[in-house]
Amino acid sequence: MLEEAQGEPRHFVFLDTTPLTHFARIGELDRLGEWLPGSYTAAYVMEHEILDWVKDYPHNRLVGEAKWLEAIPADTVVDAKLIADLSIRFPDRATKNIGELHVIALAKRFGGTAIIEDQQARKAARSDDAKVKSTYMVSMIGAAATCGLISENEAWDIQKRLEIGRERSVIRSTDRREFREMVGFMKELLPRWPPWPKCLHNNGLDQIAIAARKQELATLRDRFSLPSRRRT
Amino acid sequence: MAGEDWRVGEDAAKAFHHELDIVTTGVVDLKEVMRLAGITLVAHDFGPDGGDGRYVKKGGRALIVINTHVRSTGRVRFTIAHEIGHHRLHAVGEENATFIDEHVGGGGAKPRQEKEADAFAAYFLAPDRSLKADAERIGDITVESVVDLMIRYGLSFQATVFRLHNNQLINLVNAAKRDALRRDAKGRVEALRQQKGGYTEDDQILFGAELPKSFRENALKLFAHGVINDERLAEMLRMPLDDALHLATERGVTAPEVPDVDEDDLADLFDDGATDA
Repeated sequence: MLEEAQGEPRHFVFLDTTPLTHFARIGELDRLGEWLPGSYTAAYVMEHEILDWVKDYPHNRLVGEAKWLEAIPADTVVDAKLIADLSIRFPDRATKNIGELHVIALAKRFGGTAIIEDQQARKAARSDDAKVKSTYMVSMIGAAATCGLISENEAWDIQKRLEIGRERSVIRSTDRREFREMVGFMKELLPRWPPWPKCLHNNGLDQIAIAARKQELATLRDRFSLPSRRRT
Repeated sequence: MAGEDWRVGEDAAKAFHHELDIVTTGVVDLKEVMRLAGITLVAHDFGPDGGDGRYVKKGGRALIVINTHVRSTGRVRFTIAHEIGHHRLHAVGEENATFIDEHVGGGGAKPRQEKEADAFAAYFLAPDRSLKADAERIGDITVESVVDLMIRYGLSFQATVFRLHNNQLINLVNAAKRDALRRDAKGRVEALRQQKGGYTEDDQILFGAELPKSFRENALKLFAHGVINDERLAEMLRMPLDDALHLATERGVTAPEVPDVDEDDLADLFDDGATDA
């Protein structure tokens, strides 16, 4: 059973709908389980954003059957207050962010990392009320390659398949070079990193992805006095 | 009586029907006709004063350019058929040829070649025999029945009335009847067309017909990546801005929100809390 955070953040990972359903869609859900055994999602997410949609997206059933994943409710008074506050302060189209806010509430309660994609939800996670660390799906994949859980080519293959027909990540299906540069930069930082999966508990990972997408990694490298890389 | 220019156009259309083995009842598949004839269709917004279309042949390659500012499927179809008429009648054996058509169809004084192309288009889209059979079945020609025919043949209302009148296929459709029909139809045709289910072809499919699929996909991808803005997307897709955005939304493509690098988040990379492994 999960224990609430006291002092140092625990290394629990809370997955939102997007990584779960899209890894299932491309047949890589087991791999996600290998990377993040004993992970969690919000009961709201599992019930309303995954299993309610099995008829339209049959692969969602696999998420419900995953043994490595547990759905827990964000149902404490503190959770409810946080979800309510964030939903007012960070409104999005219709009910779009409800699942993310449940994930954020759980990550807050247990000091975990939220794997979320939505920009507005990321802002909510970073607000003073929440102060939850979150990571993009692509940053997680890049970090998995950096930590040696998967080769860089395999990681790119997954990212590309996730993005084909979706094209919502900061690094999309045609951004092979940007992905390579993101992983390259992460590898330079690896000596400073905590081990997997605690390395995901860092808002900076997404900034590497964003900088790679915007081709601003050279600037970051200068700022943090990292040796410049020679293109081969 | 139809004049010589009309006969020339009609004969060419008949010959082309025969050549293509087209079943001459109902809507002619113009996209297939152009494919078989080796003609490329492109669309460009020439603006409200840009006319209906152009036929261009250069180095043996034929191109029909339709003005996307014209939003009537019937009129666009007539324009395409008119340009095919130029292709068949006036560009054979020519290495280079250009026809700029400001107003296809209708009456009035026109150069011989334009009348021939009009006749070709009218007959090609709605052959006499087929029209006659339909007219006999319909009986009294009313605005509603003309709309039925225009949908059936993929013609505009004007072209359908003109076609019925000019061929003298139906006694009721004399000049007075023609003018009465046009008066009665004023402001009603579009509503009637929609009420009856519209053309079988989708406007967008027709206007975007010859944009290669990969080109459309790449344009949407560029938009999704923020490489091009919505106006450029519309330009590339050869369609009005609203239509382009609608298409992008339908495809689940929206302009991405790639945030700026966040300084606070970035500092997290080098924060003690993150590096205390």
